Amino acid sequence: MMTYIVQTTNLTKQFDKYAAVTNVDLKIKEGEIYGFLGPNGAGKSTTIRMLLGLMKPTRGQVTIFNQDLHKHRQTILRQVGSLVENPSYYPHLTAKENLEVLRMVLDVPKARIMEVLEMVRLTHVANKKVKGFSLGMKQRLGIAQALLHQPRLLILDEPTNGLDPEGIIEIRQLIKKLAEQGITIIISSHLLSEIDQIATTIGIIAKGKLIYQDSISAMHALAKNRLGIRTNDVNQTQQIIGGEVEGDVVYCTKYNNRQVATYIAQLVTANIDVYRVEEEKHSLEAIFLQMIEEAEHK
Amino acid sequence: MMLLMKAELAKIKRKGFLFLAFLGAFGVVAMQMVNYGVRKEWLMQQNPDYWQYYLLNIQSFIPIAIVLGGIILTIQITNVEEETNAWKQQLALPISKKSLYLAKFLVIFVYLILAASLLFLFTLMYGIFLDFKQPIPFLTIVKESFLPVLATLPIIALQLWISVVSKSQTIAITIGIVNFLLTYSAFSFPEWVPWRWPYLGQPLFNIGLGVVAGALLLIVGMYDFYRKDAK
Amino acid sequence: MIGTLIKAEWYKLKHHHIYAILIIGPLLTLLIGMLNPMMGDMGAYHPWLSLFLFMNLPYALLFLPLITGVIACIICRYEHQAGGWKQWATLPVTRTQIYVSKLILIALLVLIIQMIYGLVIFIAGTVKGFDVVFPYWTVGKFIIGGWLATFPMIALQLWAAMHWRSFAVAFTINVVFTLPSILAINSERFGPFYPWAQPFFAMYVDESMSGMLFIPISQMLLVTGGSFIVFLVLGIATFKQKAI
Repeated sequence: MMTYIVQTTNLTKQFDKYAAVTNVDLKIKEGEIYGFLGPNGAGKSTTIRMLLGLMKPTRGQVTIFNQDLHKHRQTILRQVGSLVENPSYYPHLTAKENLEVLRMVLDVPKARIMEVLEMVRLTHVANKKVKGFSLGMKQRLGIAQALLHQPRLLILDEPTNGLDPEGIIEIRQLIKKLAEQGITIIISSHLLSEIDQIATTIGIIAKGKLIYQDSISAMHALAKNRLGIRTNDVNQTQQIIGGEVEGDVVYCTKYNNRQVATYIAQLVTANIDVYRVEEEKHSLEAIFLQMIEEAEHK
Repeated sequence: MMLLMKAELAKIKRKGFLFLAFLGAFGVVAMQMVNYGVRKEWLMQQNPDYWQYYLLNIQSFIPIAIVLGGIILTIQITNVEEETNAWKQQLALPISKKSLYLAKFLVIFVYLILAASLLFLFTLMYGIFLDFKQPIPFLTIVKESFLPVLATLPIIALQLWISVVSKSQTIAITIGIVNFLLTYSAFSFPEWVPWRWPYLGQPLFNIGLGVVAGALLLIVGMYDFYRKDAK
Repeated sequence: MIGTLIKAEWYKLKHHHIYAILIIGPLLTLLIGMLNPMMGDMGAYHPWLSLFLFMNLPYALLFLPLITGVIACIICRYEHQAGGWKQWATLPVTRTQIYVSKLILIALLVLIIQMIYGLVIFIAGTVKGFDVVFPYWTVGKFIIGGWLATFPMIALQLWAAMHWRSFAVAFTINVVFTLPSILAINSERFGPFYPWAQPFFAMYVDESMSGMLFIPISQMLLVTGGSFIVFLVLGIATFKQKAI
C-alpha cells in the first residue's frame, strides 16, 4: 500500500450555502514538491487552512504523517512549517525578535534564528523593525518563520506573491534546495508557470473541486503536439495522410520527420497544392485553461 | 466643508455612532430609572422640589457620559482610517488636511448634540412618567442637556488630537481614562480646573472658557496634524 | 507549555510602553486622593485609612475595571495587526493554551499595577510623615482582594479584544458594565451581586472585617468566581470556534 505524507479524504468546507471546497482528495508523497494550482478563489487557501487546522472541515478527513490531524494536531504541527497567504508578523518587533517569539514556543536552539535569516537573505536587516520592511522582505521573513523548527513538511501559500523577479528566482532556488534535503513541500499558486518550473507533482483545483492530480511529467504528456497541413483540397489530403479535418486544415497526431517528408511527397505527387505545414504546440497553459473552463461549466 | 462632513458621515456608517449617541443619553437616564425604581420614596423625601432633585441626580452623570462618549467617538472616527490604512489614501486626495480634521471634529460635535437632544427627550419622558405633579421646568432641562457639551469641548478636542496623532489607540484610550477619572473626581480640584467645567458650577464662566479653550485646542491639534507626515 | 507561552507573550510586549500604563493609575489616584478637600477634614482619624478611603474609590471603582480592558486590547492588538492570530494558531499549541497564556499575562500585569499602587501609597504616606505605622496587613488584603475581583473583567475584556479589532467596541462594553457600579455600590441589596462592583468592595477598608479579604469569601466565590467562569468559558469557546 502506498503511503502518503499528506492525504485528505472527501475534504469539504461549506460556508453557509456556498461550498468553498468539495470532496478534495489530496495525495502527497514524501519528498515531493506538490504544486497546488488554481485560479484565485478556487479554494486553495481554504484547503490549506484546513490542512493546518486553522479551519475545521465541514466534512472529510485530513491525515498528515499517517496521523489524523483532528486528533494529533499538536504532534503534527510540530513538524510542519507554513506561510499562509499574507505573511504574519509583529510590526513593532525586529526580524530577529519576531523569530525569537516563535523560537520560545517551538523550543529550538537560538543559533537557528541566524541560520534561517541567512537562508532567506535577511541577515542585514535582522535588527530592523518589520513594519519598515518591503512586501518581499516580509514574505521572506514569513518563509524564515516557517523554516525555524526544521519542519518535515512545508506549506507555502502563494509564497512569491509580491516578490520582484529576482526574489522569485531566489525563493525558487531555496525551495529546490529544501526539497533536496528531503523536505516535502506544498506550494500553492495561481500561476501555472510558477508551478511548472518547480513542482514534481501537480494538483489543480477549480471551483472547490480537485480536477487533476498527477506527476508533472504526466501533465506534460497531455500537452500533445499535432501537425496541421493546409492544402487546396481537404478531403483528398485526408484520404492520403489520414488524420482529422478541422475547417480547411488536416491534423495528424502521430508523426516524425521521416513521415512528414513522405506526406509532403505524396501530396505533391497527387498534384495537391500544399500551402502550409505547421506544428501546433498545445501548451500546458492551454490544457490548464481548458481544464478550468470545463470544471466551471459543469 | 459640508461635502467633507458628508464623506465622514458616510465612512462611519455601521460604526455604531447612532447607537452610541442613544446609549449615552439613555444610559444617563437609565441610571435614574434604576435609582428611582429602587428607592423612589426615599428620593422624594430629599427635596420638596421633585423635578429639581431629579434633574440634579441626572446631572451628576452627564459630564462623565459626555467625556466617555467623546473618547469613544474620537477613537472610532480616527479608527476608520487606522483600520484600513486609509490615511495615505485620504491625504492623497485634493482636500486640505486641516479641513479633514475640522470635518472629523464637527461630525463628533453633531453626534454629541444629537445625544444631548436624546437626553433632553429621555429626561423629560422619564420625568413625566415619574409623575411628580409639579410644573415641568422645560428651560432647565434644555440647559442641562445641551450646555455641558459646550463646557466639555476642550476635553473632546484634546482627545481628537491625541487620537489622530498617536501611533496606537491604546494611548488615546489611556489618556481618555485619565480624563474620565479626573472628570469623575473633579470635586477634588479647584473651580478653575477644566474637568470641573462640565458640571457647570458657574455656567457662564464654564461655557465661555469651554468654547474658547476648545477652539484653541482644536486649532492646535489641527496644525499638529497638518504638520505631521501621513502614517 | 503555558509558562513558555507567557514568556513569549511578555516578549511580544517589547517596545510597547506598557510601563506608563502600569504606573499611571496609581499616580493619578494618588493625586486625586491627596487633593480631595475632605482629606484635610479627617482630623485625627487614622491617616492611612483616610488616604485609602479617598484613593480606593476612584481607583477600584473605575480605574481598575477600565484598565483591564486597555491591557487586554494591547495584548491582542499586535495579533490583529498582521496575521498574528494565524501564525500563533499554526504552532503546536492548543488554542486554549494561547488564550489562557494571554489571560494569565493580563492578570500578572494587573497584579503589578496593584503592587505599584501599594508602593505609591506607602511612599506618599511616608513622605507626608504619617505618624501611624503602615498597615501592611490591610494593604495586603485589599491589594490581593482587588486583584482577584478583576478576574471576571479580565476574562470578558480578553474575549472582546480578541473578537473585535476595534478598541472602541471593547472599551464601550467595558464602560457600559463599569459605570453602573457607581450606583451599585450604594445599594446593599444589589451591590454585592454586581461583578464590576467587586473590586471596590474588595478594596473598601472595613476594620470590622476580620476575614482573609474585605468581602465575604462566599461572595467572592459566587459573584467573582461565577462570572469569571462564565466569561472564561465564553472566551475560550469563541476562540476555539474562530475561523482564522
